[in-house]
Amino acid sequence: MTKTGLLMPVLLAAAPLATWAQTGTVAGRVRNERGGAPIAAAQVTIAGLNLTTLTGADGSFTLARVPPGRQELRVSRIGYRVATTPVDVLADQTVQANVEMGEVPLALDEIVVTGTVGQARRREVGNEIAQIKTADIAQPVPTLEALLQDRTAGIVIPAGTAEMGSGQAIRLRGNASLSLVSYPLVYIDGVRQTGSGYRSTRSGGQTSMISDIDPATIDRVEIIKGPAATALYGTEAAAGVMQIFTKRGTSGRTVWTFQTDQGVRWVQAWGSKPGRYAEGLLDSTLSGTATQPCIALHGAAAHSGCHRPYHDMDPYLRQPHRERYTISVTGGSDQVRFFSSATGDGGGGILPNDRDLRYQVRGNMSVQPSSKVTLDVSSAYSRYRFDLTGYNNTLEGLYFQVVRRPLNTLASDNYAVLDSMLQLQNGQVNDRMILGVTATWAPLRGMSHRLTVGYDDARTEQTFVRPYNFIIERQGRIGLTEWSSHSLSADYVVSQQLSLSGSLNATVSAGGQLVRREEQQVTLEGVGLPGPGDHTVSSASTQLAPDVRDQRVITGGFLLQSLFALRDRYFLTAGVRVDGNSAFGRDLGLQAYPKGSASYVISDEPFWPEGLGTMKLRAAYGWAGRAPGAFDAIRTWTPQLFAGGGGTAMIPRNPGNPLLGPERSQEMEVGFDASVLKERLTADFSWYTRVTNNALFNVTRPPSMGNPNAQLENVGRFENKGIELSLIGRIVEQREFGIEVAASLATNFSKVLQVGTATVNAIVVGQPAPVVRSRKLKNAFKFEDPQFEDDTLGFYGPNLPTYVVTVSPTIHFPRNVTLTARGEYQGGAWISQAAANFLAQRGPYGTPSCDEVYRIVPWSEYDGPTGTRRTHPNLGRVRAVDRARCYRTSDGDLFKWPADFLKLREVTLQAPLPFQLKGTQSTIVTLSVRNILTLLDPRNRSQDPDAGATGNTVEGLTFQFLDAIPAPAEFTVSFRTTF
Amino acid sequence: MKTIKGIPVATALVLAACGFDVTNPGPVPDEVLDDPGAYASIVRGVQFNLSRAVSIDAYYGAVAAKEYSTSGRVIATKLPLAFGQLTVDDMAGGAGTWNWSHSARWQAENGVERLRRVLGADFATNRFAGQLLMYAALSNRVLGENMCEAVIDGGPAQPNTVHLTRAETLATEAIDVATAANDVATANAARAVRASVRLYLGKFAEAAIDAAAVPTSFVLSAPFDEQLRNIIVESNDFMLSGSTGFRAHTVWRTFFENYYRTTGDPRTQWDSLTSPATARFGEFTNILWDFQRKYTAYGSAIRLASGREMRLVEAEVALRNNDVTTAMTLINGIRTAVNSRFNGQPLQPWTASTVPEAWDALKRERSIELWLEARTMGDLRRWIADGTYPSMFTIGPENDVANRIRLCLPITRGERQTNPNLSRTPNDPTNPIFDGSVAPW
Repeated sequence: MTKTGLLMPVLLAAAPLATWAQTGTVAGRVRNERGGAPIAAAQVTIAGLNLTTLTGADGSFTLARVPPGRQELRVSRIGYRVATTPVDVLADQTVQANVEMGEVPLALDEIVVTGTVGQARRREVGNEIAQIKTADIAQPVPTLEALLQDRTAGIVIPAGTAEMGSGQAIRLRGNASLSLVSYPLVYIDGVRQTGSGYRSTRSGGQTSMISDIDPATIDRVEIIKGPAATALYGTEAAAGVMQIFTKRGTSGRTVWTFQTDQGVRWVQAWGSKPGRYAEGLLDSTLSGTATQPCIALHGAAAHSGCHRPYHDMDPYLRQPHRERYTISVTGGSDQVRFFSSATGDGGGGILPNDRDLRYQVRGNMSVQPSSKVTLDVSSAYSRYRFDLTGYNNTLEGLYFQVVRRPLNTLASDNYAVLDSMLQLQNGQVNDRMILGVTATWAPLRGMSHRLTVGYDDARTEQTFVRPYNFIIERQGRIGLTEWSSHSLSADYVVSQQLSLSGSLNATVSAGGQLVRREEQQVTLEGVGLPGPGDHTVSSASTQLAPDVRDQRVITGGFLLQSLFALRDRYFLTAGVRVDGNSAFGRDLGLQAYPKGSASYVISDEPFWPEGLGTMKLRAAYGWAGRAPGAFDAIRTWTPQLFAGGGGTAMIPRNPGNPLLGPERSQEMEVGFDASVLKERLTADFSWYTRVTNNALFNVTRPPSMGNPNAQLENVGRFENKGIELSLIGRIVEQREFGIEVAASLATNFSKVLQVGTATVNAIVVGQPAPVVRSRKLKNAFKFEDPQFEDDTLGFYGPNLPTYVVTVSPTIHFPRNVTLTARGEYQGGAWISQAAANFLAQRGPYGTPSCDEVYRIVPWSEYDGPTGTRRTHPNLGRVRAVDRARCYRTSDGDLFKWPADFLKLREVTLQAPLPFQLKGTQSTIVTLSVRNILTLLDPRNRSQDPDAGATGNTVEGLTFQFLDAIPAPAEFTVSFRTTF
Repeated sequence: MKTIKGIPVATALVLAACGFDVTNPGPVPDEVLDDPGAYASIVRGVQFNLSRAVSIDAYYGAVAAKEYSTSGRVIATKLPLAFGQLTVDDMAGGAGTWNWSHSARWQAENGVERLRRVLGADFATNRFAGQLLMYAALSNRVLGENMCEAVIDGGPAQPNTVHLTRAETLATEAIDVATAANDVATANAARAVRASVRLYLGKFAEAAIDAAAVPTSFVLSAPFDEQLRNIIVESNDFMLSGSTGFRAHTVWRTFFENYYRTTGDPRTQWDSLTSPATARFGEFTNILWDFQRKYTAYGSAIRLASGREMRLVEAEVALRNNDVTTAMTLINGIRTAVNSRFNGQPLQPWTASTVPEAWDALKRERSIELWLEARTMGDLRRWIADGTYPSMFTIGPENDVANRIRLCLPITRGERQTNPNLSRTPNDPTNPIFDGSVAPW
């Protein structure tokens, strides 16, 4: 090498230094023009120069090597209007430039991924896609369910019960299936969730799996609600798809956030309602005077319709302290970004033995080793441990013992005796690990490959101990159930953009998906503990036969999609997914799920007046499925250990149905997205109609045929129709003050079209699916003895709400103080009360639902119209329906209630500290109260329908009252500090 | 574009390589039961379901037959409306009475057909084939004695005797196969089953011949264990699951309350617990909880057939021939073989010098011997049918058993709602259980 050759690299290296010496730096912060919140991940550029950077989590940016002189700083981010500002750059100096950005209510160029192959701009998507961004929601949000509740039209998430660890069901556009789970399919950072809820052998609640996702780690949730949008997810997707995206980190300065929430919970009265009598008629003259609480009375005095606002659970109700601590860090460079967080939360519950503790950690990283390759890695682990008091309508339930006293398991009205139920030990530990890696490769212009490999592992361990000398089983009993579900999924798509002519473009995509899910369960139980103290199952003197279950299901499919775009305003998409499922045996039951959609950005037309705003028209049609379980198609027997018979006994299990296939739902959706009135009113509207064909019903054959187990058969057909309208109105919009109201209306009307040979009480042709029905009275509200209608069962109405209205006003005050409220009305549904008739039959207190009736005719003085004592001096003031249901001859069919309610779910006041703590950037204080007010339909003399679910399960298909305490109210104060 | 075309093909190859051939452990496919190694577990499956059926038949049937009375704490479906009165839900609303009995019958008959198909000519000498035939006969006997009507494999309702006729046929083949297989116990069981169904069908001479061939020491029982529990024992406990009544029955105000108190006959042993009191009905403030002690453990077996019963079959046939002496000898032979719990001495023999007195003794002794074995309801029913309903239950209003409810378990609502050959209305004017009527007492 020559000397010149050696010198050249040195000169080349020095050249930039010389250039840099003549440049300046622009630094600043990007904020939301309303409220001043920092905007992360905004792109900051100098116009005309190839100088670009992204803002960090605190909105800050730094652009170095900017040539001196006047430059135009340009800031852009999806969801905001582009902001530009001139800056005078001085050599060797740093110029401050703070920028404010205004939000664009309808961001048609926003990128969405759910329901599309790869990713798409919102303008290209022909179906509705709801996007819930945590940045738009006042924190703290205790659970993911709370984050989603009421946030988009068409989603129904009941508040649930106070039972520790219990989750909540989620419905999108009603029931997608009447036999299988109607829970939406959930993806977390592209990884398919292994199930919807932890299996529970307890006769109580079921913990939902999405509760393992820390709301503080979520960036956004995308929701598509039916087959018109979910076709590309194939079998399993008929109930909708929710895709959760966690935070990926933002480049720039490393930002730490610490948050603590301190709160208290309490239950509000849910029991008998004084001064109210009879089915929609407020008639104080009939109600008698207010009486003492039953709990202060015993014996005969308590028989006279005393007041039970808390169902006499008063001595056991607690106001527990709850606490939560979260620390997170985010940062990185343009090539590497990271986000990591750790959360611990827990506290007591409403009942004495209730307590829980949850840990959640997450680590996410995005690496861009080259301009063509991106690697996203996400990982999360959570552990949720909780203990709970014997619950619900079970014989070990404390609630059961109280409301049914003295004819309870303990045969006692004495609370000192009832206290012994607290010796029962119920515990559960849920462990969850989710790993996902997504690699994106764009080898050529317009082409991208994306491969996601994910692993989701959920495990639970449930224990119960009836300790030695426990009151209902002196010898003691111990049980352990270990259940696990894990899924390995692989998802690959390739997309190629093609320019077909000057204004016509196409994107052709193809891909495949494979999900392998395995589930195991082992249950051990032993009787006869050696004495007081802690024991394991092996300590028991008699160990029952273990119950071991194991199953594996594989689902896989291919998909193809083509998107045609004309002038970037007319879009047509067609696609198909072909799916197979191992539940259907060797031929896999291959099913094709086609889809088609169109969108039209009419506001981009030349004829569209500019002042009219933005509007996109859309229509979509598609199919999706729902697959039965692994063993549902074949005839099987259960090997049952039968020690009494000397070995294993074969018991008939599944009758078998070789013709079994998935349910197939088709949906048409038409609507528009619009932003009008100078972007002060945003509206999304959808009309949909979904028909589920080949609906699976559990067909019960005559028991005389020998196998009493029901068999799933594709014999049904039902439909769901409705509209969804979401509005966001900026009523007042000033720099320091604003009023914004978000509101939504969703309707859902279902109807059973066909049931084939199935006989299901709540599934009837021509009726809602499911329908609440029972025998009815001809003269329910007359003051006379009841007369039942003919033997045919009468219909009350649907079991799910037909109307849901939400209203959420937000007031922005000066100094970034924000007050938000969220309310919801649900109407049109009916609900059954399952256990009230037992209380009415047994007495001596009767059911709280009849307390006002008992004040007129005490339970102890009248037996009902067919009882021994059929008369009473005050009987003329009691209506027929109450004579039939409130007394000894109580008929359980008559405890049906309208489930309408109006609920104030949340009120939140959020304000930054007016001063800056040392070493911090900002501190935000939030005061929040939840579940604070509930108004029921006046005809409902039972409890809050929002607590109703079948056994509190996440996957329950119908809603009904059991002996359950409604979800508690909660007050929380939160501090979030960024530094 | 070549790349795009190649992708689906490549993906297909990858997915195909992964394979969808899934073998899931757990539930056993039907064809596996064709293997001779599974025959013992098929027989045990029949036993399992038959035990479940007999246990619950005995539990509910005892109330109908006044072997027991409801005391009204908690019953699975609904509290009885009045002391001692059962509703349709109590009698037939649950899965147990009807479903498990039919499950046992179907499983045994299905097993017979399976072995007949698989074994071919060897069927006639196969031990398991004999056992399945015997259990098929026994299941039909249980159904015939306890159910109001016979419904076979989703067919129409027929007289209950259809089950008994089937039982007779199956038992006959069982005797042949078990004998050929040198399975003496099964052959004896089949003869005992055939004797009892022939007695019910009025084939008295044939019944006596079958009964005579069964030794007095022979016993065939329905086994139970810690998991498949004898419900009559479990119901003495606090309720352990959501489907079983607890402390819902009492000996109070039945024949057996006073009988045991005066004789100490261990076959009708009961004990008392006055606190807590049980339910309150009408004029009864508290019903005493006098609970049976014939069965004391969850695993206590319930007899299905026995040589002792066969002696009573012979006695009844003798009595129908007006042979009082032979009948009383057989009756007292059974009776005096039992020692009183109070003094350890043999029970006092019954005395009878006339045919009606001997009938009283027979019926009384048979109800004592077969107490809580799911047999008395059928006995009362056939005795009513042939006009020999006895005066044995003479205390209180409970003697009017016939007017209160039919002495059988009705077709369940589940069967009516799913069987197109049956009326779906739950109202059956011939069955007072269905319309909920309560006879005054």
